[in-house]
Formats: sequence, C-alpha cells, structure tokens
Amino acid sequence: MAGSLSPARSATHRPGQPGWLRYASPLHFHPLAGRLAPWCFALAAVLALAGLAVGFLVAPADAQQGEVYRIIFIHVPAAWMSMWIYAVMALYCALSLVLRTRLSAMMASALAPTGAMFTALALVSGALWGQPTWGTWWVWDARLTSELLLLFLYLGYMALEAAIDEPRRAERACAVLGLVGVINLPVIYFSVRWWNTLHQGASVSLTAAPTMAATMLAAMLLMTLACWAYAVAVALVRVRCILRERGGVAPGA
Amino acid sequence: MDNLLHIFSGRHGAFIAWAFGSAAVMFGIELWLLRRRARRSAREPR
Repeated sequence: MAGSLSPARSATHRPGQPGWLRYASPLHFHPLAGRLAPWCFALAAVLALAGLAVGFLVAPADAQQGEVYRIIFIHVPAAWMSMWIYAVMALYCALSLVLRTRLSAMMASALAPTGAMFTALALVSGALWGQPTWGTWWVWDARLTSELLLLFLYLGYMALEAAIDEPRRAERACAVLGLVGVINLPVIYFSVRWWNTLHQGASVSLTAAPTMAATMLAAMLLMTLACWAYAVAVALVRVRCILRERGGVAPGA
Repeated sequence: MDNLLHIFSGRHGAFIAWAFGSAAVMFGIELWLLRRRARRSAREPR
C-alpha cells in the first residue's frame, strides 16, 4: 500500500544524506511499516509455537518447583519486554525532544500500550507463579513494586497523551515523562541485588553461565524473541494508525 | 500429548493454564483493539 502523496514528491530527502534517513519521513515510513508488519507477525507466531513446543514438550520438570516453573516461559519474556520496550520508548522520547522528529514521538506513542500490556502480563503471571511457590499472590517487595510502578508510568504516559489536545504539546510533555521514568529501569533490574527481596535473583546473565537446563533456556529465549517480534509488528501497525490519524498520510493509505 | 496432560492435570496445572490463558486473552484484546483502530483510521482521520 502506498501513501496518497508520492514519496518522490517529498522534500524530506536531501542530496548527500544517507539513504536510510529518508525513513524518518512519515511518507516513506508508512509503506515500509505496512510491508514489514505481516512478516513480524508471522515470525512471532513461528517463534511462539517453537518456544511453546520446546517449553512444554521437551524441557524437563524442575527439580524443586516441579511443573509450575513453566510459567517462566511467559513471565520472564513479558518482564524483559516490559523493560526493553520502555528503554526503546525513552530513546524515541529523547530523539523527539532533541531532533524534534515527529516520527520518533509517534513511535514512542505506538510502543506505550504494548509495553503496558507486557508489564500487566508480567505482574499477572508473576502472581500466578507466586501463589504456589511463595504462598502469596503479592508482596510489596522491591522487584514487584518497581514493576508495578513501571505499569503506572506506561498508563500515565498514555493518560497524559490523551489529556492534551494539541499533538505537539502532548508529544513534548510525554517525552519528558518518558525520560524521567527511565530512572525506574535500573531500579527494577538491580532491585534483587540492592534489597533483600522475596523475588529470586537473575537466572540468566550476560556475564555468568545460566543456572537452568539448556532446553529451559532455549524455550525462554524463543518465547522472548517471539514477544519481541510481536511488539515490533504491533508497534508498526499502530504507528501507521497514528500517522493516518494525525494527517501524516491520507486515511485510505 | 501425555506430557501436556501430566502438566495440566497436575497439582499446579490450573496456575499454568491461568498464566498462559491470561496471556492469550491480553494478546487477543490488544490485537482486537489495534484492528479496530486500524479500520477506523483507514476510513477517516480524527
């Protein structure tokens, strides 16, 4: 699908500029997002099926927790994605404030609902894991509380955007909120080291060998990649909607 | 299949089913809302 305005007529690409920079223009990005989204959805479906198959059919039961540990295959990818999406969203917020690129603000706005969904999923699946293993659905533990704060940051971002009618003002206000909220990410990540928490420490680290079986790790990584591909696909579709709603391209594009 | 039956009929099978079921519901709701928004934005801008 192509936008109603021909990319060839766009004045955003200047001679001597790197070619990929033209995708910072809504007119060029809209058709590109439309082409990429179906592939990302397909990749997410394939990776999720593979991850579930390895997680439920190949990975063994845990020696201590038995079968209930399998919640890890949705809980950990959702928790990782909740933080990763916020980091990407904050990067777009910084770009929109510094370079004043409207597409950056739109990408941040497109990522917020998906980030909120993954945060809610991490909290719900964590509660469902906590009850059989800890004996409680919820504790005001540093890791859980900071993750709940992340959900409020996402919801606050979306509420602030909806509360300001003028899009440019809303973009600036949301960018500031998005950047301020970044401070919560290291708090979530290091909370299990900084404080004595009920939540277990990291099972996977870049600097140490994993403390779980290879098949368990493979299923968790496959599910994480599936969630990542899903988040990209959904953000691409949503940014196309935002572009059409704000008049970046014609409604029928 | 026996493995799945063992997992979901076990002592904590309901917790596993709820966790993955709630994930499916959340993904479903997000995709449904996104599809509705895409259709609306394709018809006319706000």
